[in-house]
Amino acid sequence: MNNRLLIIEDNEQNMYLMRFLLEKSGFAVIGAENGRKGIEMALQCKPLAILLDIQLPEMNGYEVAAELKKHRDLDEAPIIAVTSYAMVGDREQILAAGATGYIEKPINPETFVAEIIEYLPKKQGADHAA
Amino acid sequence: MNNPDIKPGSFSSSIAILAVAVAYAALAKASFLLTIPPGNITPIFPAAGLALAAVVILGPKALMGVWIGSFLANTLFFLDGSTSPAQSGPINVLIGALIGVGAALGAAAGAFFIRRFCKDEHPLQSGKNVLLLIVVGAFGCGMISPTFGVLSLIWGGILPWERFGYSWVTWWVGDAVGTLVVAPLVLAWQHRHAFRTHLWSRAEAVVLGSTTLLACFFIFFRNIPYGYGLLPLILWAAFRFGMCGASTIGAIIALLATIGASRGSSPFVGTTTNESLLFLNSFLGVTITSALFMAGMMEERKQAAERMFKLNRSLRAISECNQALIHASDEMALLNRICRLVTDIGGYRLAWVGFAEHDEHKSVKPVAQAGFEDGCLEALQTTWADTGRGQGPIGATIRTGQPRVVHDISANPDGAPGSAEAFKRGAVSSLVLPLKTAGRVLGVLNIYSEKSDDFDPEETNLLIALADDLTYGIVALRTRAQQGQAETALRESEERLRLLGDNLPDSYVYQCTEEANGTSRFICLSAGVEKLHGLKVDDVLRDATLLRSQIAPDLLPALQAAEATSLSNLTDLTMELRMQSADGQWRWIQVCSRPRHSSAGQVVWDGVATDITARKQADEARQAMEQRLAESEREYRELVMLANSIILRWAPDGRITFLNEFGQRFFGYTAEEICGRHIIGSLVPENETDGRDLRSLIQKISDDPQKFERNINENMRRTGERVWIDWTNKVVADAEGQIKEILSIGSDITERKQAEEQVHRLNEDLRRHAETLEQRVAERTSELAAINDEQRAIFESAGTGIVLLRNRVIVRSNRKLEEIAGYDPGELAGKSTRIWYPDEASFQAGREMVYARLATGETLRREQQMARKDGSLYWVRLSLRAFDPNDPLKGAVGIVEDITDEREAAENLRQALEAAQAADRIKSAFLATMSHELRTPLNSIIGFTGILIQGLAGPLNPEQHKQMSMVQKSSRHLLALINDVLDISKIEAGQLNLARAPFELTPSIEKMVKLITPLAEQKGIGVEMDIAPEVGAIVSDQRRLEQVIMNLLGNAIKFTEKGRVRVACRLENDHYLLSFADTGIGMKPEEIPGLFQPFHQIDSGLTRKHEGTGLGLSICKKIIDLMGGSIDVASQWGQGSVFTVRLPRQPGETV
Repeated sequence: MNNRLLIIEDNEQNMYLMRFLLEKSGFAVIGAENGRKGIEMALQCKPLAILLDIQLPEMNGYEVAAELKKHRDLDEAPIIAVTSYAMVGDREQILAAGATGYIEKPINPETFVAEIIEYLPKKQGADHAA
Repeated sequence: MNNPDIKPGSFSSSIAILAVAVAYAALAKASFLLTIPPGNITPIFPAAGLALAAVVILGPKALMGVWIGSFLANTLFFLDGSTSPAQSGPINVLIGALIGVGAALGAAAGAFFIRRFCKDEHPLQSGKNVLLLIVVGAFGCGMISPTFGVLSLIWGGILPWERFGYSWVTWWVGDAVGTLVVAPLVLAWQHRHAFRTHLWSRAEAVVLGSTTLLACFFIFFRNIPYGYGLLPLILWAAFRFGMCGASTIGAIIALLATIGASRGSSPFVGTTTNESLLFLNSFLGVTITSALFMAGMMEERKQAAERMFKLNRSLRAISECNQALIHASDEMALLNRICRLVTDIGGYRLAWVGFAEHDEHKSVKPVAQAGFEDGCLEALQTTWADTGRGQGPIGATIRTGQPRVVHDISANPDGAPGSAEAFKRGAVSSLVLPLKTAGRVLGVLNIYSEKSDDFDPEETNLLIALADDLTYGIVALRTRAQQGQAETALRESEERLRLLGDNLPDSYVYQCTEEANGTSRFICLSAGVEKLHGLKVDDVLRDATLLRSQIAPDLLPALQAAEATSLSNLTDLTMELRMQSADGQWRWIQVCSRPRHSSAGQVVWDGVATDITARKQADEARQAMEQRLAESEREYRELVMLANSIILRWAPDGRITFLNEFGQRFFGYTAEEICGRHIIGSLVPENETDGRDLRSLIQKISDDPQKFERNINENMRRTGERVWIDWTNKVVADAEGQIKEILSIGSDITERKQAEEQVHRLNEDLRRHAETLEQRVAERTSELAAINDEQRAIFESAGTGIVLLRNRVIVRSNRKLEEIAGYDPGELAGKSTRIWYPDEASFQAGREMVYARLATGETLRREQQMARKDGSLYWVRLSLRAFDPNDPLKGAVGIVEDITDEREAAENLRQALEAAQAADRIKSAFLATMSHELRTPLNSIIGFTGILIQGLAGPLNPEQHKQMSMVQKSSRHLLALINDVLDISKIEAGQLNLARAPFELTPSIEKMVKLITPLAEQKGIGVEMDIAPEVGAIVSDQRRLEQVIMNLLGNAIKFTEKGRVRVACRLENDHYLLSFADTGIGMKPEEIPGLFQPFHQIDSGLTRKHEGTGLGLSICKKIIDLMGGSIDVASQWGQGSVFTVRLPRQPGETV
């Protein structure tokens, strides 16, 4: 059963935090520290969902989301933006770029996993919630 | 059989079949109940009779009903009943069906023979037919059913073979007697004529019925053995009440006899079943057969007698009517007599005659009647128009000319109004006969009978003959009456004419003709000839020349010529003739006559001669007088009209009576307009131009004209133009010397008068002008000097430069302009405009543009750079306008403002704005970066603290847990602070853009309450909601509004230690009112004003207790303001606070 989640995040602490929380909940987490690598891994591993930071080196989160959207075989995997961009219009801009979900940093460690599951395609979501 | 009462199609076949089946089954059941001892055998089977009657009446389709009825009766009542051996099952159904077939076949055969032999007659109409019914219908064909039935029972095993003969006979006898009883009963009643029973006849029927019942009671129930004593009763019924009576009494006897027998009390109960059967059936058979036969014979005789009677009475009626026709002299009397004869002699119930009127309604006018009350026929308003009401027999007869018979009015008594009236008066059938002459229907003769079907063809033909005779009589009477009237009219007309002719005053009328030899002859003459000519009428009629010889001889040739013309052209002849009458007196006679061809082919003149002597004399006298007057008038008129002076005549009261043609032209009036008007106000004004009162002058002239033989005064034309006239006045007096009128003759002297005045006025003007001229020159000079000084002062002291240009040279400039440009006073004058431009090129370009613009006539306004005397540049605003746009070089005036300072200030402002905008952009970018940069480390702090507290990384000891919780609390506070500061910044920078979308308000409130409830419960505070039902959609920013709700709820809970928090929402006009009430610490009045300020802290002590950024309310207020709403607070220290948010349901355009 596929329970892989891909996290694209350049900040080491944040990556560690999210990986910790998700692995504790039984997900297999793969991480990429920049966009290009993230796209490669997504195509290779077909993750259940992609957690995407917006401020990334070289290629920003908007570009990554747009690029991911081009690949039809990734259609099922929701892109969930996890970002510190919380200014006016950031949320709308990110959703317009192709993200399915938006979680503002700092994350709430008590609810974060539940929020992620909420965005997963329902079948798998139900499995993990149990 | 041809019976109009039987209409097989008039009710549905299936209902008929069902009715037959039910009746059959019911009768069968009844007969199964009435069995006779000792063997309990059904003695008579009336259902068989019903079957035969039904098939005769309804035809073959009734067979199905018979079969069903029989089948039902046998399967339901008999085969499953107690009388049969204990056997059941499908075989019984089959037996029942076969018995039914037998019953149907028997009825079919009987009906076939009856119909076959009776043909069109009724089966009970004659003795022969009755016999047929009894022998063939009842006994003959009655064998079919038992044969089928008994064989079926034997086949089915219900009956043994040995019983065949016995069963067959009892069955057959039962069916035959049943048929004898029921079939005639049904047929007779069904065929019953619509008849009216008389009281006596009803009483007789009651006596007969009760006697029969009484006799039956004694015989059948008290067992008195005089059964044949009933025979006289049934014969009585047959004689007196025909077939209906006989069959009814027969049926009663049969029923009671059977009941009696079944009770065992009857004289017909024998020792064996066979004996009982024989007794009962032979009794019934003999009794009913003889009664029916008797009734049939009676019926036959009665019909024959009736037919004879009817023919007889018709013939008598016709004979009487023909007598009446021969003796008739008056049409109405005749018609009434005929009607009476038809009823009295002909024996019909009613009769009336109606004429077909050719009026608007095509009404049928009743003219004679017998048997109706007066007026009742008129009230019917019968019509023969081809409309709904005219569709009755009367209308149809009039339209077609064919007689109509209504056999039975009672079948459709409302069919026609006439029929309904007749029906009320006892009529049952009617005959309508046309009164027809030369293809035209004059009207109808209606005859009504009290019997139905009373008009057979023979009788109808006789009555048609009667109607034709009647028509002939009417026509003959009318012709005779018309002839008589014509003769009388002619006589009266002749008498009137004679009186007319004889009584003409001074005239007579005549008719004359010309004989073959050319002489005239009078055909008739009226009496006046004697008075006019002194000749006797008879003499002149004999000899016309007597009259001709009186004519003056000189007129004779003209008369002859006129006569010849009139004769040949047939034109009127009119002449006035001078004639000497027999007494020698000459008279003028006017002759007027008109020729025509008489029936004999001659020309006849109808004429009138009138004595016109008196008129002739009067005419001559008048002519002579008129001629004299006309001559006199002409002479006078010529004199007056041709005069070259104004000739005016007026009465002493001032009214104008005459103005000659010259005068009319002069003043501009026509004679009709001026004559009759007062002289003052028309020709003479009330006052002269210089004031003389002309009214009094005219008064003086009319008072004493001699004194004013001549006067000169002002007059006026129609146009109002004043003219001067020199008048000579002359009085015209009447016989008594009274002034009758004044004759004024005038001549126009206006021009002379005007010339005099002109000279005088000119002299006067000259003198006055000379005096004033010098004075005026002096005044004007001083005025101009003053104006000049003023203008110069303005020019010199103006705050802007003013310059006058001519031909691109400065003609004059004020001091200000010299100062602006850096020149000394007066230095600019005479310089070219080139000095203003920094170089030659700009001078050329500016010059072209400026003068092109000036040539349009508009004021040129532009800002441009100019050069000072020292060569430095400065900015001016220039307004320039040419005096004459067609030639701008000729002169232009310009205003020059130095705007160097102004331009510098504007430039500084622009730079400052740019700097501010740049600073703002930097600030926004800084804020965004700050937000991002602060969140990133906070993410780790909050995240890991959470992990540790949750124990995800391993257990913590209580001290560690407490410390980590402190870190978590602090970091969350820091996050809230960042969020709020960002919100405030965004709002203040105007960057907070609100969404605008409709959403339901109630769920939003509920969601926020649900989110906050755990916090409230933690503190033991209840949260109540009171949302009015009308609260619905709102157009706003859902997230921001929820943020506000959350904030206010959070505040309420935060500041409340016990009690409750209450959220209410309701609709007020176009606004929602959201209130958040708590029972917390509340506020002091002085704390309220600064509540919504950012970083407002109510009390430093409280801040410690109630953590918060102090920005929440400020943000709420700003968001609500942006949404176009308002937020208010009401609070009491220690009691609690109420925050009220007022939000528009739809944001206004300005929001």
